[in-house]
Amino acid sequence: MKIYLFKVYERIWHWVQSALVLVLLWTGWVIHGAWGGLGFSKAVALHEALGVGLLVLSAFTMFWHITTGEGKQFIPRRRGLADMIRFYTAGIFRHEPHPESPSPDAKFNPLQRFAYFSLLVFIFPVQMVTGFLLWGLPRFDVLASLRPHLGGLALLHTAGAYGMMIFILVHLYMITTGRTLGANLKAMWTGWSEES
Amino acid sequence: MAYVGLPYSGTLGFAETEMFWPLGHMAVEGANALSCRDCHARDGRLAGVPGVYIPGQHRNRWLDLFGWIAFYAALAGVLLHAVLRAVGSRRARGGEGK
Repeated sequence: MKIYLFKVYERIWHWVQSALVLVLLWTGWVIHGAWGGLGFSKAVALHEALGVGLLVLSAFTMFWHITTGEGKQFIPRRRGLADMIRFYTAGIFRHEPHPESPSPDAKFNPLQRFAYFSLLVFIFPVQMVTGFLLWGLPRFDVLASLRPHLGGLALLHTAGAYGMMIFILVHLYMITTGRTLGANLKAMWTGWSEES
Repeated sequence: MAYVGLPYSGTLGFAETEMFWPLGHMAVEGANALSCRDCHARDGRLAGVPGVYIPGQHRNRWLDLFGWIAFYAALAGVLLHAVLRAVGSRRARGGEGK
């Protein structure tokens, strides 16, 4: 049975956001001095432009989730969480069936909700607020009182980058745990998920 | 000259003088101009100047250490999980009498 899980806007949002975040990570490490390629001034220009791009995309996505009511899909729930943890720590090695099957009304299992919600309330706000301040401090005199805290803001922003990197690593691996190795990736690309 | 009470020879002329103008505004020629990385680097200029944060020069060693430890721990966890899955699926196929 094929079900339509990811609508056009969700897929555009997901893939544009992926591209933005990956290039932001790359240019961020160049600025941090951990990566030599590209050069400092180009990295800064690109990082700032894509940061603004991510803010704009997030504003549209926030609007989409509020107006469609789809935001509720990201609210964590306890029910089924223990089954999910048992599946990923034991059942999956014995080829047991997945304890949850997605539907258009509940696309995410409890573990996904927990992961994406953490991203939404911790990493994204921290990166956006500290990123905006790092960009704005030298530019706006209103923010002058925060200038002595540049180092602390940069520390938080770097910590957020590590968090994002670890999320992407685990997220990429979890993609392969669908019905087949490529099933989840295909669903995110076409919108359609094949469920048994 | 009569006003200041000095004798006047009656001849006029130009005195030769020299003057120095800092037309370069102390800037060096392009070949010696600084680039971003002259300061935005680990051992860049202004290193050791207290109270200033320079991206690319300053960092928190502990954050970078624990950040990478956490990343590699996650990578190890993911790889271990993948190996266990591969073993599990080989065993499952074996059980079907392949």
